[in-house]
Amino acid sequence: MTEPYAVPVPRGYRVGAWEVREPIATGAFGSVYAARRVLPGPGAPDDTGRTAADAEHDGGRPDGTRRTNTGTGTRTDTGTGTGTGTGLTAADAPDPADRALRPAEDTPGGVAPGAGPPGEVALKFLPTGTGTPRQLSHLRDLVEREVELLRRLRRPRLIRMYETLTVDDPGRPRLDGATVLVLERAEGSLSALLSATPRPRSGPVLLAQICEGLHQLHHAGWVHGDLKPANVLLMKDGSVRLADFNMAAELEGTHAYTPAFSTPDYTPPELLWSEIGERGRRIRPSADVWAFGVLAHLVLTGSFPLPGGTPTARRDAAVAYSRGSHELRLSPELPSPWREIVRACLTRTHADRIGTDALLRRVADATGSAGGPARPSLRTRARPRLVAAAVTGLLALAALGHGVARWAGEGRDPVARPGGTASAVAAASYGAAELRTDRDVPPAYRLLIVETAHDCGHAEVSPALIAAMLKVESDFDPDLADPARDEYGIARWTPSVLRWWMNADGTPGETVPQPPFPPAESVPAMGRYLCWITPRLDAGLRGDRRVLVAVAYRTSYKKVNDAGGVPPKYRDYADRVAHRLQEYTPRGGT
Amino acid sequence: MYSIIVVPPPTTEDAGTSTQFRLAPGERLVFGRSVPEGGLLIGHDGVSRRAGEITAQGTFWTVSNLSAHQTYVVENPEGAGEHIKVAPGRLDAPVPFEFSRIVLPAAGDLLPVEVWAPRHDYLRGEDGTDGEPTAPAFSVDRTKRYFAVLAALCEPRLRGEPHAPLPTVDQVVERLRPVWPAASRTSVQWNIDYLAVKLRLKPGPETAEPGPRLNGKKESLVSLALRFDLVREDDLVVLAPPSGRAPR
Repeated sequence: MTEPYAVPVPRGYRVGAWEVREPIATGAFGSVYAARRVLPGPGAPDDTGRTAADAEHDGGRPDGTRRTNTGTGTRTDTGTGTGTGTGLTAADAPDPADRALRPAEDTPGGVAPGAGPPGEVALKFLPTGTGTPRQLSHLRDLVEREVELLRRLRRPRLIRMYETLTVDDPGRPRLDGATVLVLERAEGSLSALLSATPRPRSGPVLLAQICEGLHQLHHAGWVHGDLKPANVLLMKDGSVRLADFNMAAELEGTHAYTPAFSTPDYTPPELLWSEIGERGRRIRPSADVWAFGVLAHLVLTGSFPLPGGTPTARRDAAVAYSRGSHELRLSPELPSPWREIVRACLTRTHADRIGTDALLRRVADATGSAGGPARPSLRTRARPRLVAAAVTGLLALAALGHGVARWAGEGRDPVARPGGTASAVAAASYGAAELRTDRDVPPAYRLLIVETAHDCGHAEVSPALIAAMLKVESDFDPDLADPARDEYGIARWTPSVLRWWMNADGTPGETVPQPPFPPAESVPAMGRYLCWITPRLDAGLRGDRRVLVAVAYRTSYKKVNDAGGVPPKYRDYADRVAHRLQEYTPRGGT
Repeated sequence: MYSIIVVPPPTTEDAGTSTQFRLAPGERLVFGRSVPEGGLLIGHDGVSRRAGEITAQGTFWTVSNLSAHQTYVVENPEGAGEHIKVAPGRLDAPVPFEFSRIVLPAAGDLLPVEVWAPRHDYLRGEDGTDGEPTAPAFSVDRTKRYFAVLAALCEPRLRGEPHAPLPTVDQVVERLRPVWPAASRTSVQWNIDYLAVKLRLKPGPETAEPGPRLNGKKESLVSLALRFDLVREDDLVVLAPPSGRAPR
């Protein structure tokens, strides 16, 4: 990670319906260009994606063109097979890496049809091409985060994404395979505004809108992770949009995991040099609140709240402040209501920091704006429809499973998702009475786990048991592949065994199934097997029957019956399941 | 939030198990034969009562030589003899190395105190970007031995076998022999431990579970390094012997 990820795109270059105009900005992970529409809008009947100019450009190379469209939830197939390329790849490209980059299609919960993109947009090119000299797996993760968030969240203060495209242009290796986000076109960024006018008169109003954006983001269950002036965009009408969601992460309980990147001046002290696990850095919404405090101080006074001439010096000052060896000395130019707000954001520990709700109220008071803090539309609630769908149909489960895979950032095929943001919130607390929400069970799997357990009439087969087993078997890794032991997927199914449990009606599969086994198949099959095992275990075996069921899954019910309990060879496994079972069972539960 | 780590000299009583001192920026550590509570006690008659003081300063550190007559040498163990001298009475001499060994002369013995500065920052290309850069949390020096060790650990998976078993420490030693003839089990293991500190590896939840997990640390390091592209396929050149000296 030593070079910037700029993507040079020539003026006049065509991507989908768009023609690239002047460059707008280059960030740490990609380049943004202005663009204007040269073809009719997506979904229009005459949108063939073919023009004479394209044919010239690509030399008439046969290629498929597929546009993925967030706005209407439809996709437009054009020119398949014999047409000329327009610089887009088929979204169904066999390359698994490409499959990871087609998350925009079939998205329910978009805007009403007809609210397509305007004639002028911004195109964000992210260098995810397979032809790039380096395999940038972390970059792919960052891109997916941004696409995922923009695809699922549409809020007034968040930049809007109309569609995603993938460049297919082998003649330009640096561009080929790049992901292109078609975004709402902004006039400029707060960063540019501040460099022109260090203390803009509109500062308080801008801050109030930034705060609204944070509030909308946090209420939808996400953390931005990289709030700073360059990521705050200003529209033509002067209103604010938050952008650049490469570090954004969906909350799992009180935390989210973000990639280990940050901008030092806006990073709260507890995250400087914090421990980093394999999933990234643990971050809380309070990290955005700290960043907002820094931003407010900067916008209102033209200086950073912590002393020092360089980011390194200010980082050290932040560390010294949080350790209690330095006091916070805010600029005397900070107006008095804002002084308290900034102080409430920049507390030494995350626990003392003001919450986003209270922050929004205080900012609204300070600016006198009665701007919509808690509009009903911001509230997202569980949709009962989702639950019904999951118990009735494997199809719905399949949808969930794929959504899960996308959520886990594993680059799996996001064929469909359970609708919009509401499901994310519902998923995070689904079945809370039987399965704790503050443990590491990925929220997106909860529905699948809970409903699978409910499908079995035996009390032993509980959501906590299934979650505990998935944790121990695979650490919830849907892509697990262990050819040495012939075990695959989140439940470590052996193909020849899965065959007997794969169908909901109890019939064996016609042939031995081939991995991958997505969670939507693996988990219900596991539930069926567990439910079959339970009554076959002898009465009076030693130990927790739930754990014995799990051990029988790993070996066989006969071995468990023969041993009169956990066979010695599986004690370690049993201990680990028991440990997780206890951890995942809500207090007061069994 | 510590930024440097001080490793006391090994003593006969606690072979290799001595406590490390982790200092946050601004914190001081006094060392010597007779130091106040919390200091680093060096029980050797040849060492001054208050021999010196180490202060963490952000990502680097300074050393004060409080002895009356002895010059301290701070060596860079990976620096081919690179060292600085700290004269008696010199206060707050800055030390630029990521790894350092303060050598205290003590009545014919040389006592090493190791100091690690794992927070050293390295340049990341940021040309052409707007505003303040978004920086990765890891900063590795590709010329250091720990990087070669990390590359050797990641090599099988980078060569296209995502589930390849990790090399053992002995295999890493063998792999590094052409570029690092003095590599040994101990030195490779030391570098693995240092990497866990440097990359701020969070101990996995597995550590609390029954059953030994001997490969946990290596496995986590490799997983982290590959996930964040700390080592890429083109970095494997660090494992190749320098040109002009063919491997035997």
